[in-house]
Amino acid sequence: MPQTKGERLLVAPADENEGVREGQHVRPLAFATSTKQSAMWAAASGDFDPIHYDQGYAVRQKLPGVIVNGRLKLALLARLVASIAGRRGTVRRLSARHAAMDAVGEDLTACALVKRVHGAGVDRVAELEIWIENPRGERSTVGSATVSFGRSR
Amino acid sequence: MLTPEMKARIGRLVNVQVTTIDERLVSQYLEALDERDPVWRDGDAAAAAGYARVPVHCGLLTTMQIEGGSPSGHMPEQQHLAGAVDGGGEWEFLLPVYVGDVVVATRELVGVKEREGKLGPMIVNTFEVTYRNQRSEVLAKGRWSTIRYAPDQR
Repeated sequence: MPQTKGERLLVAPADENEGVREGQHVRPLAFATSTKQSAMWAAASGDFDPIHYDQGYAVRQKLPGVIVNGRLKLALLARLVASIAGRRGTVRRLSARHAAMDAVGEDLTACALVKRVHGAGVDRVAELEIWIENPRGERSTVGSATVSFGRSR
Repeated sequence: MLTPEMKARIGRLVNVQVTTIDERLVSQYLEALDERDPVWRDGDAAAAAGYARVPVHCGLLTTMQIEGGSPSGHMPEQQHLAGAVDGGGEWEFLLPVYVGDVVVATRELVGVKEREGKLGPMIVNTFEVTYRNQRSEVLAKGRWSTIRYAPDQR
């Protein structure tokens, strides 16, 4: 199954439910951050805090420089998790804690590990460990998620 | 650092935000994430996936604009704490959201505490947000924290 940029990242057979197994590392989602992307996220999210695009302001706030918006990192994880749920599934829960700041301009990677799968058919549920990894190999945002492979409506 | 005025807000409503989820909002969100799966934008793709209408990506609900912007604008007793960073949180998604829905987000402050960390003395605010649609159905619930600090005290 082709895995082009922007499409579902998890290679799955025709039956999406069968493609997710405990212990499986999901194909990660690479994402390049930049000042332009920060501006796009600010417009999309409504968060115009200058610490995410104004270097001078960020330094005055005693930060190392402009930092990637934490909600953007959460959204990247949501994007990955939704792709695991598939078009007929749903994201039930998403949690994330920011362990470190990431600099705008760095390439980040959203990652997931399938910890547990239970239920069957449309009631099949997967528990995931999720994280954002930066170029230094640090897990700068860590969390978990639950996806269901069926929908109530 | 923690003042009686800050504590007095615990358990109280911070703000309510009403947002119509329109195509422009959704498109900006998807573009910012470079998310190109047509199920989030195209009616035919959504129908093929079993949706009655175009569904909204769950991540959009967690954006600040759905809650009414940064809470700092609604909490004057913390205005002097110019620094703010996201502390993370947890969201539970209960019902699907569709393009055209009206989302009402109710944000409440549930905790305020003082901590010492990399940014110096900090105030950690914890919020609970309930998201409802135009039929007052609960779409999602969130609980998240923000860290406020005074840069000149670091």
